[in-house]
Amino acid sequence: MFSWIRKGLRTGILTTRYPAAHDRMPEGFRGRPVIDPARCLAGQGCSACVALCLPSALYLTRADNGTGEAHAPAASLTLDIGRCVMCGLCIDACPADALRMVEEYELAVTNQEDLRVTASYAIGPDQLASRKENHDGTSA
Amino acid sequence: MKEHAGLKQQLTAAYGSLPIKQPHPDELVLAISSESFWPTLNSLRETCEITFVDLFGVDLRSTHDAFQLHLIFSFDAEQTWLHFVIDIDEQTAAFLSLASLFPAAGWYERVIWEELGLLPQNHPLLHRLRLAPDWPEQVYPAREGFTWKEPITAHEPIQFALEAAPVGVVDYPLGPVRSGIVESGHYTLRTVGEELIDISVQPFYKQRGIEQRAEEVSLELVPLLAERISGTSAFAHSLAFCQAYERAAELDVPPRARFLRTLLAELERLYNHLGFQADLCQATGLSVGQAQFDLWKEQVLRLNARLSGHRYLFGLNIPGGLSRDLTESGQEEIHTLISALRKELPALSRQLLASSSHRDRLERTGVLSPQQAREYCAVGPVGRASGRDRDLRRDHPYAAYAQMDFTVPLLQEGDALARAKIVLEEGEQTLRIIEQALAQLPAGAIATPCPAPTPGESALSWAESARGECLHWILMGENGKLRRYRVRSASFANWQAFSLAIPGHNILTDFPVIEQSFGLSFAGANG
Repeated sequence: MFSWIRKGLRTGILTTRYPAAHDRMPEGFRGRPVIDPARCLAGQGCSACVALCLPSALYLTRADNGTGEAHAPAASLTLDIGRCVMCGLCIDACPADALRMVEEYELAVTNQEDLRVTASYAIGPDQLASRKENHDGTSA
Repeated sequence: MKEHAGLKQQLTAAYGSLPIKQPHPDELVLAISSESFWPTLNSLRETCEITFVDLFGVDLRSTHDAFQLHLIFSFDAEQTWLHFVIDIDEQTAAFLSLASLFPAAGWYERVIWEELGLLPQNHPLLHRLRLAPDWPEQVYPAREGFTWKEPITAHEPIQFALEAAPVGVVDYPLGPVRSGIVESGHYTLRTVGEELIDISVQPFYKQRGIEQRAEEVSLELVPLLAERISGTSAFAHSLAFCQAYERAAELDVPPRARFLRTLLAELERLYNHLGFQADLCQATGLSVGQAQFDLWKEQVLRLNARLSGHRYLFGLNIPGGLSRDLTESGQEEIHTLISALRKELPALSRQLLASSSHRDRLERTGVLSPQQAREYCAVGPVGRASGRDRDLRRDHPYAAYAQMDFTVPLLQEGDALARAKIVLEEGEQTLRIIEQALAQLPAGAIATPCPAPTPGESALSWAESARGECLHWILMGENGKLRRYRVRSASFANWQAFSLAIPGHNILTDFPVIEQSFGLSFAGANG
């Protein structure tokens, strides 16, 4: 029994107080994902990240353009941190580098709504028209 | 891998009429009729040293007008899997129970009965196992066409009542809500005075339908699901799935990926084994010992996070290899920690086994006899502490284990002390494997493009997780998704053996020690 007491005393106190001493997260740590609306192509019909999101933490809300098209441009892209499992597949899938993961890992909020981050896109009639042309293959 | 002419010749000589296929050098697939499979297995059991591994059903009515039973044995002497496929007619929807030949098959048959609707005739105890008691009748989640997207409504709510114990007997309910990070599981501990005379276990509160969910998502997302079968065996499960995918696509992963997979799988084993000792110290009240092992476990977890971005090694395995490479500095960090542990772990082991307050609680506690372990096919350290000389890393080598030099510890006592010793020794062997994998790590790519397997293709794969062997079987569908995904985790196999270790010579306060010494996962028992 004395050997354990000696062992414990030799080891000393190794725990740190929270949150006084923040541990730096290692490079490549998968923390909170962030959308950059300026780069995101969801407004132009891209849904690469949404297709790969297993827990449906990323979802598109379609613009009501009345066409019912499968590839209709999105009006907004929402990221629900409450559902996210931080797998990082969306980051790799994004063709425009509009998604990245930051070091932040303290994700607790007091209001469930605060877990949802929404990027909205204005959809003009011009965009709809050009999108249709692309689908027909008549214009690059 | 060995050519196994021996077993094949033996089977052909005895059952010449059986069509034998050999999709891979280490796997024999035998189609057998539902009438003849029972007598065939009965005689095979007497002539060959085969081990029951898995039994599951597949709904193939839409293409083959029949259900299919898959029965998998391991023939370790020749590093071979023996895979029986039995067609079950839709009208009959029944088969003869194998529980009298292989007692371990009992639970597997109950799962087939409740989830696929095939009746195991003459089954000794046919009750619901994994599905909730108020799950509606005739709703079979393993049948094609079933979806979890619609909520399942119970027929009528069931009133639960605790059975009154006989006079002189006291029943202690334990769980499902418990302190700390213990998952949800329920025990009823039956005692007379101090002595534990019986136990009933309910580890199946966490049924998530992972197998069925995997059949609905695209293939690249399946490793994510496999990781979530049991978080502390995440790497082993995603590895088993990716290997199944690669076998079905007949693809070899680059050598660097094979070595890295070996290394990472051992890091997973290492933190689990350190955590095992910490939990066992907690059960015996040895606080400093617990803190010491937890300290090392935390260091391994932090190393994992630095290497992979995730403390529990999620998101690393992808079909065709790995998603992240190991950097030079990462290799140095592993080397530093492993060298430190090489010095510290043997000293800690000696100190632990010399502590009478700890050791006395483990000796002759929770004995699982070698015969029980054989009958119920206990796997992993639990099996090896009860005389089961099996380890998939040695008996069916995968990744780069064939190139590694290590020993598999074996004991016959089957008590908590034997399990603790096996885990301690395995931890030291793990350090050896990590050192070898680091030293031999080849340069080159970490992944190779992996085309989707052909529709209709199937493959069996396996990995030795920290808790024992886990098996995955996939059948590819027409739409680029899985038609059937089968997972048999180590914990499912060992939960069946767990309750056998309780009655006889144990007192109520031994229970935490027995529970920790089995080190089982509730999530792993569920699918």
